[in-house]
Amino acid sequence: MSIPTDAPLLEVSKLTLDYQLGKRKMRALDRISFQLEPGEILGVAGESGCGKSTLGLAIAKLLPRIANIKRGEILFSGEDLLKISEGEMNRRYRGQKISMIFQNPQNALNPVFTIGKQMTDILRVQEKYKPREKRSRKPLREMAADRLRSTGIADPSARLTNYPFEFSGGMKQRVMIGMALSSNTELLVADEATTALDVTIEAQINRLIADLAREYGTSVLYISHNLGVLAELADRIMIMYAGRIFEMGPTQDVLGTPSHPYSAALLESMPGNQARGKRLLAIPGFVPPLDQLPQGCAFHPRCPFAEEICKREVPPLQMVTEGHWSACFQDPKRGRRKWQWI
Amino acid sequence: MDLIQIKNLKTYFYQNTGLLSKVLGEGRTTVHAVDDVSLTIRRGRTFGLVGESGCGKSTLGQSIFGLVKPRSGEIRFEGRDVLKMNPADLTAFRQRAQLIFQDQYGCLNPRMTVGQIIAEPLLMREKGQMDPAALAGEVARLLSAVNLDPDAASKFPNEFSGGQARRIGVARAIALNPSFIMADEPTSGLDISTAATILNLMQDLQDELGITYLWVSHNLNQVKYVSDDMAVMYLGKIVEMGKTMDIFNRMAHPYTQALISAVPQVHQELQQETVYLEGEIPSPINPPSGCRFRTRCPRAENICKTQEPPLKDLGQGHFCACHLHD
Repeated sequence: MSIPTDAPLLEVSKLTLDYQLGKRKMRALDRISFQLEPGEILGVAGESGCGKSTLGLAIAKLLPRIANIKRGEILFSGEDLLKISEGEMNRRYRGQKISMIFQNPQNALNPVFTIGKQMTDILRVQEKYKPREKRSRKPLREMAADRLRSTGIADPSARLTNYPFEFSGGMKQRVMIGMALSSNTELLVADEATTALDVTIEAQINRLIADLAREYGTSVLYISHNLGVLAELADRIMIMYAGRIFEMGPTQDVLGTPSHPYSAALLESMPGNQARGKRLLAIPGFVPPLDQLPQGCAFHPRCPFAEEICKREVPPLQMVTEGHWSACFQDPKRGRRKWQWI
Repeated sequence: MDLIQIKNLKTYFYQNTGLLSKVLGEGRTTVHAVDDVSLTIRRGRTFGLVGESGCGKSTLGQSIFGLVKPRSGEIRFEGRDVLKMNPADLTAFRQRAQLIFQDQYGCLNPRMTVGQIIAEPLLMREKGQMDPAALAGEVARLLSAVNLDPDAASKFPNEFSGGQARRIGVARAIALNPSFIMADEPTSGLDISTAATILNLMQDLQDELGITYLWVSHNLNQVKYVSDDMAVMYLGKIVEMGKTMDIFNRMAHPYTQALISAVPQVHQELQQETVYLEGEIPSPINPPSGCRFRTRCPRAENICKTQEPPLKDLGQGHFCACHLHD
């Protein structure tokens, strides 16, 4: 492709987005900036309502009508997706350069068409068939079967004649990934793609996604609330809260030595390595509704480390070490001590 | 002392097949949801039950409460067989054993206030004869026991967040002071820190009230954290059972190894080399012959096809059903 190797595939800068619900205006994304390199897997984590799904939808331009993009750019190989038309988006990006998989593959597949029909439909688009063109579909069926096979579905040619209800949840998710397996896919947005699946199936699906990034150089925006999955899969992690980026950096840095008290709190509240009987951290308070965000740092009412400045000013993202950013006023003062929540 | 002893429990479901197969005399198909399961749950402890979806773990729990009718076997609660109880004893049993459901909104009647929801079991026990002031006091006590504001009593379930709704479910479950609670995926669908509050709450209730839990979950990190004993189920059978720490430290069954290694860990030093299983759990209508796990087992041998491995004691109450340990 024409992209120089060192240029990012995706460059989001200062993306700001409101949801307008009657009189309520909710800032779902607040000055989100990040870059995604070709072949890189960026994990996005945070509690529900932090804006991580909105971010994924914004990149594929699949936002609901109540969403208002206030400012910012989404540069995809240098082209601003926010400036191109819906028709252009469909012709050149969706299902081609950008693919998306969701938590519930049930809703993403049409129940009245066979898997084969749905897969060859997307292949027609990817293989640039003209709308009423009479080219044979046979090669497409073979390609579809190949794709199913590479996602680990046994006897793929026979399976193409099945309807979605004849597939289990894990298999449907494989079909979705099969649709994204094209070498043309440059960006895969996976929004809680394995949340509803069993751990053994989850491991299989995540291995597929990792292979996709490694073999085809596909970039992945992997949205999940499961920090364990991100630890295994992601090259970098972004922690979001109330529409803002709180911390971003290489996976080992963010999970190993979190610079933001919120990231540290998330890690403390997971039953992972805690001894049996030791209490888990329950972060006091709750995530504020997006139209009632507190002044200053959105996390300060729940943060035991907050000081005066946190209540007044929004902390900017500051560099901790090369490539590791954190938005906390208190962190630079503390040196490299760990956040002691309990 | 054991609170619950289950012996050779079998719960099958029957599916009527189409007219054609009826004519051909093939009759109905049988789903072997729980197939010959025996286990004991110690009083005041937490018993974790894990396995993939469709392994029969929820059905096993529901069988204890009579929500599905077992085909054969014994379920002894405090020494008496639940399946042979008369209606009066059964009512008494149901006051001693309660459930916390997976769907936190689905199990709360949207047209009743939280106060009514929590008062309902109390009124049932007292056959409707209860002083309103005493009842309100009891509801307020239960709400504060689960760290909810007593004002919550006048609100409806939809006014609460997922974590709060789950706590209302917990408050109702402890209303009659039960000795046993089955928690079916008690934190599914909750955020990390909200799940932590529920886990802490349930631990506190166990410490204070000595409640015994049957903890059904597919989250192995959680089961490792909460449970004292555990069993791993696959296609209706227990494949490994024992003290939780023993199972995590010395897992004996290839399925347990695959399951535990597939759990992603935040701290890479805890991560084990993932054993990938091929394919998915087979249909319980026609389970594989011999060992049910053999179709996906990376270490299957010829004997696994022909002989079903018995659940063998490996010592210190650690059981495993695998020919590797013959």
